[in-house]
Amino acid sequence: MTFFKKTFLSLIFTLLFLANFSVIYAQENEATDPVVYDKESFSRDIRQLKLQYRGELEEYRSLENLYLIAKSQYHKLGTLASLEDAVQKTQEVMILRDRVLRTYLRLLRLKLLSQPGIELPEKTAAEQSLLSAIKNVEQHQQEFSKSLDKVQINEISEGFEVLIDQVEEAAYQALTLMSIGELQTIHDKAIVLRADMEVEIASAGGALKSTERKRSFDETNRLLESLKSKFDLIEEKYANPSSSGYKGIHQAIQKQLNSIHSSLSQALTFLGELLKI
Amino acid sequence: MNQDIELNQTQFVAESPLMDNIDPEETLVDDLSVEEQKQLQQKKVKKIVIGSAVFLFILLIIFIVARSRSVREDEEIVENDEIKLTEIVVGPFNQRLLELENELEIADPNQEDLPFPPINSEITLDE
Repeated sequence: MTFFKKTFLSLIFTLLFLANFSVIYAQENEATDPVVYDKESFSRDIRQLKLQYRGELEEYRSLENLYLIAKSQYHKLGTLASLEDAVQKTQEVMILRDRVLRTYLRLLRLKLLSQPGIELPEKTAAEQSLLSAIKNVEQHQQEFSKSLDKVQINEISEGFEVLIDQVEEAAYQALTLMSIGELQTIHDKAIVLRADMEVEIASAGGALKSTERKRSFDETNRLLESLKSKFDLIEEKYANPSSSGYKGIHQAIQKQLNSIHSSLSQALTFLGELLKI
Repeated sequence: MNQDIELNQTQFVAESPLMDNIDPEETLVDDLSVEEQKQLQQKKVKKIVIGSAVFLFILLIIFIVARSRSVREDEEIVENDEIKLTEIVVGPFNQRLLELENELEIADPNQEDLPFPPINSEITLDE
């Protein structure tokens, strides 16, 4: 029996070792780059939160309709039963409204963190605003932990008007930064692409072709360089939100962002033409 | 009377084992003690167990090697196809330009990916 035990144990250990070996082998074959892993992790979390957000928004829309109907019935009939129904529907829609806001802010935070092209101090400040807004929404949600009456609901409603201003400011701060960051990233990549193309293909195809290319490269370079001052202008507006707040800034810079977007589109067209010369 | 017939019954009885069709080894085995028989049996069983273990071990090695090879082959085939497509259809600069154009389309300021949620900020029971 001793011999059997030994043989059995050695067989088990061998199988365990081989199973572990195959797992290690599989792990070594996977991507080990932490940057790639972080991006994939963000993308996955963003996808999940987006689905959750859409679901909650749908549910909120349905409940809002029910709340409006119940409220209208209460004001028409004035009975205790209609008041009870209206109070219930109002509380339900308020709870879901807070949930929608919380999910939206969490989603915005992840998108902000995964967005390149933004200066780190600005990104950190915007993230802190979002975290503070999330915390305030969560505190607001605590007020619905018990059943409320008409008076309490109206008090909460007044308090929400203050909360929503803060939430909007945090959201538009992040949205503005992300809009700028997206275009900034494309601008930076376009400059690098232009430089790489110039190194590789500027002198190909003979003297006539290379002269034509040089003019084209210079024109593309001028266009891309001209965008730097436009980005600086937007950055300055963002750094000084003034009384209109970030919501105002976000609306105010739309024209400049459209102009930058249009110029970048033209620059990419130029680069496409350069590849065909 | 047949002269060849042996009439000595005592000798016949003594020689009767020689007349049976007996395997010499069985005779030996029969001669072994019970303990020795047990040991022999155990040795046989040991051989079977060791043989089975080695066979399973070899099967497992073959399975792991075959699996890792098939995964690598699949990856190589996919990579080769992608490389061929890239070389034939788009050069490296065209590819980068295409990616930038896609990113620019997504970054259109007129199309907000995540607009502020359309919520009612004046939910109340008052008219």
